[in-house]
Amino acid sequence: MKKKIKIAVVLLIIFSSYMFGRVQRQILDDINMPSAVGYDYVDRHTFKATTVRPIYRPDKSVGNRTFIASDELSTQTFSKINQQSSRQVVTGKLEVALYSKEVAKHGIGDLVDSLQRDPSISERLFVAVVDGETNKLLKKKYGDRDTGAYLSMLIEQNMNSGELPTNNLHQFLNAYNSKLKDPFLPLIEQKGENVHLKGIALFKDDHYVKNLRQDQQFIFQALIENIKLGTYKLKLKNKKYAAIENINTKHTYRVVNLKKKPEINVDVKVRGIIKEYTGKKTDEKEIAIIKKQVEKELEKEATAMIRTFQKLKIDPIGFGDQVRSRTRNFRYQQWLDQYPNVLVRVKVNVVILEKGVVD
Amino acid sequence: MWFRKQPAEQQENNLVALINMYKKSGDFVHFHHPQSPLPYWVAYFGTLIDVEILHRDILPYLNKSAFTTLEEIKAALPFEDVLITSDLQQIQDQLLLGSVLIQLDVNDRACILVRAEMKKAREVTIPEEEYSVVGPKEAFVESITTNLNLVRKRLPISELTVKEFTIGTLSKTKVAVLFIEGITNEDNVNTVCQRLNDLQFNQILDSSIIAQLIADNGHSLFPQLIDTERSDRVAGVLAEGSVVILVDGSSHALIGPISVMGLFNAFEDYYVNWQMSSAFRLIRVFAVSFSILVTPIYVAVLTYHYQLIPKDLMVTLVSSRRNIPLPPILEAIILELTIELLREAGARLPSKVGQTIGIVGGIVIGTAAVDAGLTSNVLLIIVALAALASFTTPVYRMGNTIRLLRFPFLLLADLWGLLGIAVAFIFLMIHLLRLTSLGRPYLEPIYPPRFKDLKDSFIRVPFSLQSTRPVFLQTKDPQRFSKQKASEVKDIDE
Amino acid sequence: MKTAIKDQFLVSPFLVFFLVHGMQYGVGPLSFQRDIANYVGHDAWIPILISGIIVHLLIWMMYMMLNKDKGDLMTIHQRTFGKWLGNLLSLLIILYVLAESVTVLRSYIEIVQVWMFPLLKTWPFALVLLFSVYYVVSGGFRTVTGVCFLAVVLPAYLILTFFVPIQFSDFRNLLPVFDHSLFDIAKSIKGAVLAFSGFEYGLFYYPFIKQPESSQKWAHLGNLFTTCLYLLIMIVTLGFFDQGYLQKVIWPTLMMWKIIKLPFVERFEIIGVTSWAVVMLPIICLMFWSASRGIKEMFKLKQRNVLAVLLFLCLIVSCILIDRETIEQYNTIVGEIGFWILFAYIPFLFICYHIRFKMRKKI
Repeated sequence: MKKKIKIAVVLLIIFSSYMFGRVQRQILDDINMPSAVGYDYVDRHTFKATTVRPIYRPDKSVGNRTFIASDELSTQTFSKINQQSSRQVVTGKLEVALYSKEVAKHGIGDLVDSLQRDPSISERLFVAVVDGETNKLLKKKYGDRDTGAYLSMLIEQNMNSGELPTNNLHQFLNAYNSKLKDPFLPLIEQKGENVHLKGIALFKDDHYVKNLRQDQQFIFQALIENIKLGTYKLKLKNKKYAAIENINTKHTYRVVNLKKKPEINVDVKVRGIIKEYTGKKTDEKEIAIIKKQVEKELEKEATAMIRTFQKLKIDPIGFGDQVRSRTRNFRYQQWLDQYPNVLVRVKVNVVILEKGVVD
Repeated sequence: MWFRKQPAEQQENNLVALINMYKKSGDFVHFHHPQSPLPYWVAYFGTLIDVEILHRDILPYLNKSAFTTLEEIKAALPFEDVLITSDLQQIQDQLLLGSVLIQLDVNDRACILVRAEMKKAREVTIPEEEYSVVGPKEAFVESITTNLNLVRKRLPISELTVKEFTIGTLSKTKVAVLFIEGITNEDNVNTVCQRLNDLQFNQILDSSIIAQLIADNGHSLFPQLIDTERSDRVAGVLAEGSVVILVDGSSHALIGPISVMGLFNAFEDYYVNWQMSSAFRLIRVFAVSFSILVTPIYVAVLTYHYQLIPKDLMVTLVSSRRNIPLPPILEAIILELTIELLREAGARLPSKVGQTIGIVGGIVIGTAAVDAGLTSNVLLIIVALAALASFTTPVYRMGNTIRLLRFPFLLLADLWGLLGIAVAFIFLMIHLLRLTSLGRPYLEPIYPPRFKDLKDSFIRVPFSLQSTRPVFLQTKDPQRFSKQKASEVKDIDE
Repeated sequence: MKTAIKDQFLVSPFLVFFLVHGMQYGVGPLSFQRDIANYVGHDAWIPILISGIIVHLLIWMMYMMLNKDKGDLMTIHQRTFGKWLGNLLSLLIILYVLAESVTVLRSYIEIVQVWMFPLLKTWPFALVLLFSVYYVVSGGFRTVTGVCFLAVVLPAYLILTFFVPIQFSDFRNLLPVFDHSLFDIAKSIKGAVLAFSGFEYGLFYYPFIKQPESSQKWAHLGNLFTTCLYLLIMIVTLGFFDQGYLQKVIWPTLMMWKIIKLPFVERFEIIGVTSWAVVMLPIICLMFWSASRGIKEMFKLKQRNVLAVLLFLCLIVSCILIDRETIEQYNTIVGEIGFWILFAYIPFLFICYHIRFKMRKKI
């Protein structure tokens, strides 16, 4: 009798878990996995979303398909896209989220919320700002992969080769949610058959304010992180050019006079190899000149850049964090008030390691 | 039984009645020899005895001289186990085991019983299930005397004890329990003997029936006693302190108690050096987990967790599944069943045909199924690899267990994805934790954790470090050999 | 003294390490960062260190009582407060244990619902999990310990995953050290101590340990290991998240897993949540074992039947808790009670027991 009850209970558990425990299936070939999403500005309350999804053909080539919808809420646009799609739309394979400059100017706060709330979105997703319409950019097919994969590979490759500071969704959200830091995003643009990196878009809270000039990008990156593999092109006086490659940098922050008005000193060490030089010879004298020139140039760029930041009251580099981590009883408001007038000195020290196989 | 009850009813001249009853069988021979110096009666089952023995070693002696008593005959016969008895039960048993009954008069109560059974057994051959490239190639046969002989030859010590039992109301099978006195824990021996004594079953055809009957948990999929056909393995585990059961008529010995790690050990591991055997064992452990988990993981990931798939693999997976009409679970189950069909067909057919079936079936059906768009080629590879991995287990029964275990995993993977696999794994883990082999924990040395026993589980350390017997056997003499002597290190150039 | 437990049901003292650590390491480490950082921000690792030390003290008190008594919580209660009051107190503790088991089960299912299957119904999944609990507990204490052991050893690879986010971390976030007042730290200890709860079940399983006195050092080591692991998790979390972001995140550990990318797996959090099923299983098992054992001791009922009834109760309660807010409320209440039981009741019992002991000696 007891055994019968036991068997009955086990059967009941198996039965009920199969009958009532079912969850929604997302079978791989029955879902629509957009790999990129772009948001364009329509009016103050609505925006237009474009998603691209790869089409995997049985012969293993990859195609593209775009869907467009507009609504106030990001998830609503997804459900509108769902209405157009023959397959269920899921967000787990998103690799790139793009915002047009227009959207970015009006604030991306509401759109970012859906990125951080949805558990299926990857933390390694890349966020970028597009100069122009994202719709136009996404409709085109580049390379042999789908657009989403292409864009994410483009951005990732540039981050690895030191053209961009690493900045995935997690780092963006960290800066976005921080009280001291302000976020920045890569700025891309469609040009003809290709997409290229145009620079860095700077944000104040969630509003786009300005983009960084290309020539300031190097020092910007050197102030944020230790570059492992970078390049820097230098224009010398007499129309000569020098290209320094395989650069690795190291920055050291020093903050003095913490109590009253902090002053920040940054030492940046740049070590690299000369790869190209249009001058005649690269002897000791010439190298010393190049070194001096690079130092001066970088320092100038840094000072100008930081001045602009201070004028705009944005802090993408994180000077605030440097001060906070050195101050007991740090007062946020006081720092934010002080920030535009804080003195930041950048000192660059260049070491040329090698100059190639010829003099 | 009908033949036992009748003599009990007729107390008078029951031996005569017994013989008369046996005469109903066509192969029972009962004749009188009046010409000899003293007339006598002989009775035996013609099919059970070796007629040559009868004619060469028994009848000439009987005809030589005149005997007046049974004792005289006993002294004259060149046998050591001649029995004089009037015990009807004994006479019955002996006759059926192949004895020749000799009476001076047909109405006598007492008689002489001479063992002359026909010993027909297969030649000792090479092991088939546990074949190994290196090491001895000597397998047990169906005769318990031959098997005992094979074991005793490898352990010529007086401590090797054999306890015999007769089990089976119909089959009267001889079962021997082997252990080494002074090494094996008596609790283990007693457990085996107790369980064998308590056995209630009519027919023991093979040792595997005993294994099922005395298992700790009869409902478990896992073998709780290892069966082996290798005499070297039996001798090896006896020396470690295990108990071995030999069954007459079975070419497999049973070894107990065992732990789950024993199922990953081929005895060949001891014949190659320790690095290799450790590597092989790790490969086997990997193969078994791979075999159980890989198809369920495929089903889980494709049904629920598309996020997990790297984007470079996505192209392969999606395009291979593009035209498949079935959901992953059905696809997987159909393929798994196909593989099982091939295996089962191969096992039922004679060996040569079986091989052909395997190859032809595997290649033809596999390619055709992919071409027809019924299964994806990725899954085909996975299922075939999983099947292959399940055959790496040295203990044949374990391979079956693994293949069967896959199905609950598959079903749960279909229900809750990876979480379902975790649930299935949890149940498997609990089951293994609760399982015992002859009362000893099955999951040893993992749980209870005995670090000493790890020396011969996932890996095998060199023999010089294996100076103690396994802890889980709780041997009386834990020392295998003196560690000091083995590990003496000589100085350079000494 | 009650009848001694048979030798074959006892476990070796060093397994107490796994019992203590396995019980502490539950659903807490997936989400405890925020509760602590609420008060002390980037100093959140200090309360963990302090609570680790406090818990060492509590373990010491527990063993002082147990070593003298050679029994369990029920006998200590009976001896200190008399039969009726003692049993009543034991019953209250058992009620708390049951309530806590519901929080563990429901919190885990909630994580599954949020991170993996939004449409998963609570009750079928809870039913299956509780069935596995029944399967474990009916195997006796040895099986419960075995599950504890395997649940610590098998998912141990998860510890490695806490090192991966370091490449995205900025440990400047931890500076300056000791930037908060003692008052703030004291407030945050409450959240931290709860993550350490679980050691108190020694009060139930003490008689099941071979040479129980020698198991004390293993209990301390288990707690030490938990402390180190929590410190690691906390420090990585603080480096990984900006304070502003950390305040928003409900499950920071899972967020950290999201960044992990392996060649064959692009997302780790699903594997993490799945592995956590094995991590949280022994907690529920030992809780139900303790509860059913306690009731068996007091009322002389059959443990199997008690267990079935308790599991059924747990199933019903966890199905009643539907949404995030109710779960949060329930967890807060249970946490509050748990905090007082650990922090106030064990020392109180310790003192009472010793006074009682002294008095008895005088008479």
